[in-house]
Order: sequence, then C-alpha cells, then structure tokens
Amino acid sequence: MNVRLSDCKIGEEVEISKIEDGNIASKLIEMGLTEKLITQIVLIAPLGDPIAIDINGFILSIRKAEANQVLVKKINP
Amino acid sequence: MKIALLGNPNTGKSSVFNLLTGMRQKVGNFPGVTVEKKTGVFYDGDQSIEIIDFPGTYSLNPRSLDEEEVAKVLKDKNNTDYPDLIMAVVDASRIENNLFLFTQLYDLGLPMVLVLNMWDLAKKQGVQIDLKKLQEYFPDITIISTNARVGIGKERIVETISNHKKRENTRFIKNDEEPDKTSPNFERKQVEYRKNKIQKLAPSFVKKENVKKTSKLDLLFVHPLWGYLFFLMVLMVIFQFIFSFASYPMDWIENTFLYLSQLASDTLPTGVINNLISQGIIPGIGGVFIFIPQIALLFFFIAILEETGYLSRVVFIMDRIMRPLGLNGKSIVPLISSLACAIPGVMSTRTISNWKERLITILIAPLMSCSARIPVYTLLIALVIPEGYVMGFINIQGLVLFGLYLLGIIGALLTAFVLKLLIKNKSKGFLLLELPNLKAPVWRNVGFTVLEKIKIFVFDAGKIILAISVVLWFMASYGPGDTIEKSSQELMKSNRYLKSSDDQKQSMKSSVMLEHSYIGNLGKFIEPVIEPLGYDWKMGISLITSFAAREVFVGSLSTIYAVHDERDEKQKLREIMKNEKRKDGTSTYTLASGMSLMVFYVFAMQCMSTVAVVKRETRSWKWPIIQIAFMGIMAYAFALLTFLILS
Repeated sequence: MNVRLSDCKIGEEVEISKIEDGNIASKLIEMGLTEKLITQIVLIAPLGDPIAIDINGFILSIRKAEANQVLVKKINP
Repeated sequence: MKIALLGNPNTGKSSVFNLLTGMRQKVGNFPGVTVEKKTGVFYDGDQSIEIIDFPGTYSLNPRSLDEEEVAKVLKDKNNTDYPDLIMAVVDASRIENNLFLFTQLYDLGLPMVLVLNMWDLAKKQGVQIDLKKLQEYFPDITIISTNARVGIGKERIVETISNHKKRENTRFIKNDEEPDKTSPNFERKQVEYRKNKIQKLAPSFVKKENVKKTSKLDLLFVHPLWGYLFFLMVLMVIFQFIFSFASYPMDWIENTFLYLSQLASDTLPTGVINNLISQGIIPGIGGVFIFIPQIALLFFFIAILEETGYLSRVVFIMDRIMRPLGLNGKSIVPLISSLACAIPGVMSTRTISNWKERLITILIAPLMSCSARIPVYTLLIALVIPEGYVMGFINIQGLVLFGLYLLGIIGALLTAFVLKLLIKNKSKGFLLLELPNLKAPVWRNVGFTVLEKIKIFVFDAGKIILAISVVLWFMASYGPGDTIEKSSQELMKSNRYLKSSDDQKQSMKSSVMLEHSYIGNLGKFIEPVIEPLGYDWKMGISLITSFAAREVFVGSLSTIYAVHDERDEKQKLREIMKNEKRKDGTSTYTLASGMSLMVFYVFAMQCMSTVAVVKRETRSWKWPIIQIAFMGIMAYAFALLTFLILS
C-alpha cells in the first residue's frame, strides 16, 4: 500500500514507488530519489519540517511539501 | 590551456583548487551576472595553466543563478570561459550520487580528467570502487584518486592533466538512446533515463558496506532544545570575538590613516590638491579599510561553520521558522552577517535559489544593526541614558543597547512578513539541501575564503565608498558663492576668536566652514522636516554625512561643535553635547531627542555602500530605491513616535 514519504516515521524503511509530477520532481530524481530506492527518514527538524532522508549514505534535506510528492511502500509493515 | 573545475558541492572541489593554485588565484564575476568566478593559475614545467573554479552544482539543468551560469558557459563554444579540458571532482564516498553531473559533463565531449577525491574517507566508510571497471565505462578519460584535504595528490593531478587522453566521441547516453524530445515531460524522462542507467551500472564498480547515516552530533544539532541553544551559543562566541578583537586592528587602521592624512596635509603644498588628498581621498580609503577586521573575522567563522558541515544543520533547523516570513533557512547566514556589516551579508544571499526569498533577505538585511551603528549608539547612550542598574545587576545602558539591536531584528522580520505579502512570485520556494558529513575544517580553505571576501569588499564596494567620500568632502568643504569666505572673515574679527588659542582657532574655523558649506546649507534646509523628531540643523548635517558611513556621525559632530582636543575627542564631544542648548534654553540632547536619534539610526538606510551592493545584486536601481524609501519612512515614523512618547 502506498503512503506519502511525508507521513513516514523516523527510521522506517521504505521503498519509493512513485514521484508525482510537480515543480521539482526532476530535481528530486537528479538528487537520487528514484523509484525502487530503499530509503528512510534519518532526521526531522524541530518543528516537524523539513526532514532529512538517506540516499545511499547521502543525506538530503527536503521540505514536507516536497516529501508529499513522493509515494512510498513500507518494507516491514 | 584553460581548465574548468566542476563538481557537486561538498566534494572537496575548493580543496583541489587551493591545492593546485595556492596564492595565485583571484575572484571576480562572470560577465554580466553576479555569479562568483574564481580563477587561478598553476604551472606544469614552464607551461602556465588557467583553471576556473565553477560554483558547485548537482546537474547541468539549472535551478539557481549559479547553476544557470555553469550550464551557459559549458554549452557555448564561443564563451570566453569555455574550457579546453574539464576536471570533474567526485566525492569517492558518494560516487553513485555524484555520477549524475559527471556523466552529463562526460557527454559534453570535452577532454576530461576525473578526480576521485576523499579516497581515504570512502575506504574508511567501507566504500570500495573498482577503478578498472569504472575505466571500462569511460575509456577515453583519465581517472585518479586523491585526498586533497590533506594535500596528497598535487603532482599526480598536474601530471594527469598534461598527459590527458584524447576523446573518442564516446558518450554515456548516446543520442539515439535519448527519450523523444517532443514527448510531454521530456526533462523528467531525460533525467530519469540517465539516473536509471547509472543505478544499473553502479553495483558493478561500487561495493558498499554499512554506510554510516548520521553522526550522534547531529542528534544534538537538530534537537528541539539543545539544537537552538547550541546555535545561540555559537553566535554569542562569534560576536564576542568580533566585538572584542576587531577593535584593536580597527584602532590601528584608524590611527594609521589619521597619521597619513596629517602627513599629506603637512608635506603637500597647500591648496585644493592637498585638501582633496588629505581630507577626501585618504580618509575615504581609511573608511574602506576600517571594515576589513570585522569582515575577516566574520567570514573566518562562517567559513569554519561551512567547512565543518554545521551550517547546513543550522539551515535545517531554521527553515521552518523563517518560512512564514517569506524567507528561507539559508537566509539566516546573510542576516547574521549583517549584524557585523550588511555588505558581506547581502553578498552572501547568492546561495538562495528562490528569487523572492533572496530578494526579501537582501531588502531586510540592512535593518539588522551593523557594527557601524555602534559608535553612534554608544555616544548617544552615554549622553542621554543614566548609568545604573535595573534589578541590581542589569546595566541600564547595556539594556538600551540590547534593545536597539532587538528593535532592528524585530523590524527586519516584520518587514519581511509585509514584503512577502507584497512581492508577487510565480515559482514556489523549495529546499533541497545536502547535509554533508561533519568533519574538521581545512584551515587553508578557511584562509582563502577570508582573503577572497576581503578582496571583493575592497575592490567592489571600496570604489563606491571612496567616490562618495570624495563627493561628501567636496560638499563639506565648499559652499555656495563666497559665504564661507565671508563668515570666516567675520569669525576672525570676533573677540571670541581673537582670545582663543591656536588650536581652538583652527577648530572654530572648521566649524564655521562646515556650517556654511553645501552640506551645512542642506542641514539647515531639512531642519523643518526633522524638527518634529527633536533634531536641529547640526544633527541634520550629521545625518547627511552619515550616508558615507554611519560612524561618520561622530566625526561630523566633532567638527560642528569645534572639538579640538584630538586625544580625548570623544569625551570632550560628549561634554559639549551635554551643554548644548536650544534657542529656548532647554538641552538639545534629552532622553527624547537622543532616543529618537538612535531609533532613526536603527531603521534608516544610511549607507551608500550597501545601496551600491544591493544595486549590484538585484541588477536594477528599482530595489535599492524602494529599500531607501521604506527604510526612510520607518525611520522617520518610529523616531517621531519615540520623541512624542518620551517628551
């Protein structure tokens, strides 16, 4: 079942299933957020936004609005 | 030969650049835009090689001014900066991620050298790269591994450059592989295709063991309580250093230029040239140099924060707080810099990719109380605020000073909020920020950053500051018709003058000259406008001269009040100001007029150098003019309010 990356908890392993078209979809892909990538949220800023995710050891911080464009599947539900 | 140095941010690109060029580097701008261009020279035997350090970028599809410039230069063979060879720097520990830009560069078809930097770090993190395999995919370029941070690899880089391979028209993505250009969403499809191809190949040459994700320190840095407290502590340490240590070299610079002025005025034949040099040009240059200690210290600390990777954590925790104000997490650095000086502050907004967020940051930056306001604040506080303590331990004068800073910060943030509602914008702001590994700073890189910022300030803003101080000198030394001449002669006949000592005579003469100069006339002309704020024409003159730089306020008052004691100038000035009376016999400097003046200085845009820098960064006169207008209105309104409440 797909959920949005912005709704995931810290440390929860997920697999990216789709990146919805949006203003920066191709930027996210350039930075490594590609379909089938196994990732997780590693840091959350104090007010819950932005979040930092792990892309094969590369830590990328994105706002919740961007994370909302990313659909993921939980690996160990 | 011309080399382009390219790579993702945080790959150690500047370490490679500094390693190769040492002191032989200079900073400028790409023609027509404000994107920084660093060029350097190094030698291979007798052959000199020019190397351009392009801004770090993640892709050739631009999303900021910096990245746009990189793409523009590399796609135009006739561009003066078009390179003969590309040196791509890749962080070996993040090779898979870095390959996106690298393969884009590879497909440009230029001769190329791939530098796998941070080789040791990669090994330590359990990343193993099969160089032979990698070479098979990119056969016509040279691949080397280095550790530029510790300085290993310079000879090898130079050698590789001189023996670089010829390109054989190979491409990573061949033309017939490209997705259909006419299809909808072409850019996304193109990006996806490249990324997928890299991800398919990567496992054949990179092996990774458990890659460490974040360090324990990160949990402290982004903690809801400790994160902010730690940041506050860092700021306090920085400002402590700036305010306590910068004053020594500043005094030294000031005295040196005073001495030079005196020397010039004593040795050159008297006349216009003498005055121009000793009172216009030398103090003008001094007015530029005086800022160097603060700029150097500030960028020393900012460079350390940046080098260690801590700064991106700050952006991370500040982003959500700054956003409702139309700002970006990245705005925090320019705003903090502006507490020392708005010039480097405005200059450091270039990293903000969203135009609206960048513009708002630039517009509010000068509202942060800069260090040039300190002499004004301290003089006036000493004059109108009584010494003493609140609650037994809080110094009242210190409290007022703190209040003025706070007023500036609150004013800046509220202005940002209003501007956010007023300025229209098409593109939505976003944040894509890498949190690089925390690491010790490379001191050589810190040193080069400091040098670079000083150079930009001295050569770019310095020219304008010098020009304006010459204009102000002219306006202060000459007056309409022969009024200066006449009033001087009147003064010389007066009893008061004849009874005075030589020193006093000199300062009385200067005072009369200033009063009847163009600036003096201007001061009297604006007196009706500033009278409601509690000011007289003498303060008016000082307000006008403050446009050269705010701290000139103190010097102008000294001249007007004919303070002649060089050694104890400030104390003497304070005494005279204390005894200064209005026509009705009441004191000129009261709590009301003094506070009103300070509030005026908090808000007013009295700095032509900042105006010039804002003009340069926004590429039009529109924004600096708007900025002068709204800051002027704020200054007048709040000063008036202060005066009415307190009197």
